[in-house]
Amino acid sequence: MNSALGFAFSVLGLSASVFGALGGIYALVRNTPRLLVTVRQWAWLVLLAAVGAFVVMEVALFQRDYSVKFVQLVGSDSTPPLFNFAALWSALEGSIILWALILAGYIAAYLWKFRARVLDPLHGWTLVVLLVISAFFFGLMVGPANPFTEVAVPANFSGPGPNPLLQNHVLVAFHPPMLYLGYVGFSVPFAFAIAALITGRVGEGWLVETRRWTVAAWGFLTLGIVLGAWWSYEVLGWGGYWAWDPVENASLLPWLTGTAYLHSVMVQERRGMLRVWNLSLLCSTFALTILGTFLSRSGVVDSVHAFSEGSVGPWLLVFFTVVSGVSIGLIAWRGDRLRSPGAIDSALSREASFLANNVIFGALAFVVLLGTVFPLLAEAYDGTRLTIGRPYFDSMARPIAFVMLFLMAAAPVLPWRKASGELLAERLFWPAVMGVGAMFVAVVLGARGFYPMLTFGLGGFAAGAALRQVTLATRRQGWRGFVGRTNGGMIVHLGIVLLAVGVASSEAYKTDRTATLLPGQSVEVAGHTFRYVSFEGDETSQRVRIWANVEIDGDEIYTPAQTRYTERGMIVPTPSVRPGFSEDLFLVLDDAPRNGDPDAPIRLRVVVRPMITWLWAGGVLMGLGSLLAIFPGRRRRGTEPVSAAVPPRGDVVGAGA
Amino acid sequence: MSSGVSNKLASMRAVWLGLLIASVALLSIATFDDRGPETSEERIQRLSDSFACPECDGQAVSESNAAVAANIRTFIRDRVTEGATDTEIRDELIRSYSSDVLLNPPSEGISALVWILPVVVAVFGVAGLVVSIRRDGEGSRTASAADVALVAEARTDSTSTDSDASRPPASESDSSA
Amino acid sequence: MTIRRIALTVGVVVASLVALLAFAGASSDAPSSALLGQRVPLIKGETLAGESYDIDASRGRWVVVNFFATWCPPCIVEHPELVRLEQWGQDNGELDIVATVFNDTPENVADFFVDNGGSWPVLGDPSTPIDFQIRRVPESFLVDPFGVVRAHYTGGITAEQILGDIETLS
Repeated sequence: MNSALGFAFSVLGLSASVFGALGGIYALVRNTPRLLVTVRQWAWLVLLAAVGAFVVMEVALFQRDYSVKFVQLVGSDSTPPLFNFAALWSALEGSIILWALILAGYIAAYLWKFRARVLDPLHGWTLVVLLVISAFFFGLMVGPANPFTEVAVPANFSGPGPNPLLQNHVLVAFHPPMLYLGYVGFSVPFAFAIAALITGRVGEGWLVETRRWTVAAWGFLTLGIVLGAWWSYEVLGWGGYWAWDPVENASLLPWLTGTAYLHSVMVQERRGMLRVWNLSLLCSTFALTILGTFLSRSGVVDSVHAFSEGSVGPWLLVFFTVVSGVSIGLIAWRGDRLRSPGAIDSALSREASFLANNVIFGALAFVVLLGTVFPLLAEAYDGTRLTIGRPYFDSMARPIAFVMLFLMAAAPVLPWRKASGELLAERLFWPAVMGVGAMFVAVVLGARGFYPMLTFGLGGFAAGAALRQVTLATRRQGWRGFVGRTNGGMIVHLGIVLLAVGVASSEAYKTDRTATLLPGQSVEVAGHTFRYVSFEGDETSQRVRIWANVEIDGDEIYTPAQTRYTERGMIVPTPSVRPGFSEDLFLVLDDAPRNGDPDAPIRLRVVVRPMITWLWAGGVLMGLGSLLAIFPGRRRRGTEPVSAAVPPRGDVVGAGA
Repeated sequence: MSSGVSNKLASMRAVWLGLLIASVALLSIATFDDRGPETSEERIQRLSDSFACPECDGQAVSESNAAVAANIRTFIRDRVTEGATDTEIRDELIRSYSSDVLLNPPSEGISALVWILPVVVAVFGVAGLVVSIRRDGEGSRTASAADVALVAEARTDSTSTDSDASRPPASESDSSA
Repeated sequence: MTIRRIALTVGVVVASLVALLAFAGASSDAPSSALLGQRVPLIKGETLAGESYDIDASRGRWVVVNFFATWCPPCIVEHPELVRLEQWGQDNGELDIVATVFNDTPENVADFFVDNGGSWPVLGDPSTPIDFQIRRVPESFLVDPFGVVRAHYTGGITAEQILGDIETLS
């Protein structure tokens, strides 16, 4: 029943997307507005289909309807409700339902927002592109990754439940949806960009309309990535949060190009320059979300959290090829229209600093992509098997991050067009004082080391510049000084500074010790005493959980645990973390006592990471900043495409002067 | 120019010089007042960070809970205690687990590219940046016919999103300028 | 024109990336041990029981080199098979067993042998698993009377398997 109903919704979604897209193309090419209006109905049907498929799958999961293949794969009689709900996105097929649902949601939001402009070809084409994308994902649901396939149910069957790592922490309910909201959100600006290219309306109008969509997608992606890091820290028990794993890199790539776009688009809005570049950034951001999905779903690259490889890999690669091919082709075709009219006057200007920002973000994206796919290249070339891991990415990303922090300090105080040295000296004074102050405080508190100190200094500098902007804005406009693109952006900058400081100190001043302890014994790490008190365990039909009671500083008891999931036979360590403003104490039970003998020793790993909470706080602040940036700020002229004086027609000088 | 302005400028310059000296001083304190030579515990940590666990898809030996990682950690600890050099430990591990045990790709052979390419791209990026700013900076201050058309178009574009497909394409010489 | 040229270049780069991704992953892993046909790496030192051991002393007899841990379920499963092999070796005088424990404590190993039987030498040197390129336990190697590695087993072994291989290889 669920099987048939769910499949029916998938087919409905696929056909509605295909008919809508084809009808739209026909109407736009033949210029028949009456037909164009019907595209909207198809789009609403897509939403209905996506919601239907999602609801059917959730119902099947909760009914433990094992005749549905996907439920047999990830369902179980004993999974608690929250993780049962989240089980939908715990494996490949279900995650595509979520993807389709979010895409349909964006399409609906798009229709609602632009309901008055339905006959405008720009919007018509945007809708067509969105429907083509949704046709692809519904196609996956109908064909190679059908989650609703009906299967026979063995007697007394209970499924294995979701992967144990995905039923261990409440963040599982938030991290993937956030990430998908980000990934999928870039579809809308991408569709706009393609529509602008097709209609030839590559002026600045479409940009203004996509800005909020891009900021929203970017904010979700940021939160998704940070929540993922947090989840990895709280759940995986290796004491870290970011491993430069291919799947992590795949989520970082669109974030980097998206960030570059959010900056360079301002140059286009203000000065009308960088049109090709901006379109390329938008298209590559979307293409990279598809590439990232491919990398994590196809098993091509080794990754700790790759989905088991399914048959969708080749399809995603084909889709990536189509997306890139169409984008590149359209940009090449419209290239002549895209010529930038403006000019950069000085290296000391806002636009030059945004250009520098783009070079630096582009370089980081290149390094991340290269490091991720290079092992494949090396193996294809002469069979060399390579691993490219943290040391490589760290040493590449570190200098880039310092330049970013510096630009974050300098760019916000730079005016458009041209700045003088005196102006800069004046505006950068307090930020510089703050940077030096931050270093001074750090040195007094005993922090040492070149890299962390440079992070504190540049971080203070950048934070100073951001605070200066927000202070000036609030002084002029009251609470409105916190909203709008610039001010929201400055809040995001503050979040990044917190994040950078958190990363620098939690890495540089980390202490990592493993100790074998008998009951009653204690170990001292980074000024704290950890005493192994006793050992306990409990058992449910679903899992066996054992934990050590560890007393920290003779006060609170923390319980690092190991959970063995009976159905999958997998042992998952559950770290116990004492978070704090200045440091986190992170406990992992490496080895439980043998045979559960209460007198046997345990092996306890203790990781002390100073200021890692700053990292999470920074992520939250970045999300908040994105939200503030979406609200309209102070009214100003929509665009100011070319600020160079335009002479009257009669004075036009020949080209190439 | 009153003398007040130049005084202000001079004091500004002094303050900035002070800030510069202060930051250099603080950075030097942080760099040179660092802990002494690397302890063997730190060395073990650094080495464990630099090898991949052969069974866990690129996780570092120091980060993995897998048994093979634990064994390599113990091996590194033993070899460090015995006084082996970094290169010896590295070579021994490569001999057993081949070069993909290194998290840091080697800088010879094909894998040298992974180090060289980013530098090449960075150099090109910076060069492109400098060239575009300099060229634009020297560019004409007068608008071409195409510029005027673009402005007109963009203005209509910003007030309404009517079709602008009527704009003539820019001439060849413009786009190569 | 330049835009078209750049677009073309980018297109070529993307196309080669796609080609790379499409044809990658075809590579197989799980290489057979590079030790096959080689002289057995040196296993020499003090056993966990405090006796001295040298694999060269077994020259002239077959040797099963076993890697195990007490926390590893397949190792527990294969242990009785090793006990049978040891018995066979003592009866026929042609087979020795040596084990190296992987990431475990001497106490656990002592308990394990008391509980499950067996009396072959067990060493704890972590460099032995490195020399034998062990990735996960249990793994075993069969060394012929000339000290050459002849067979490699990943996962648990059975006595029949080993004895059959000795038969075919000798």
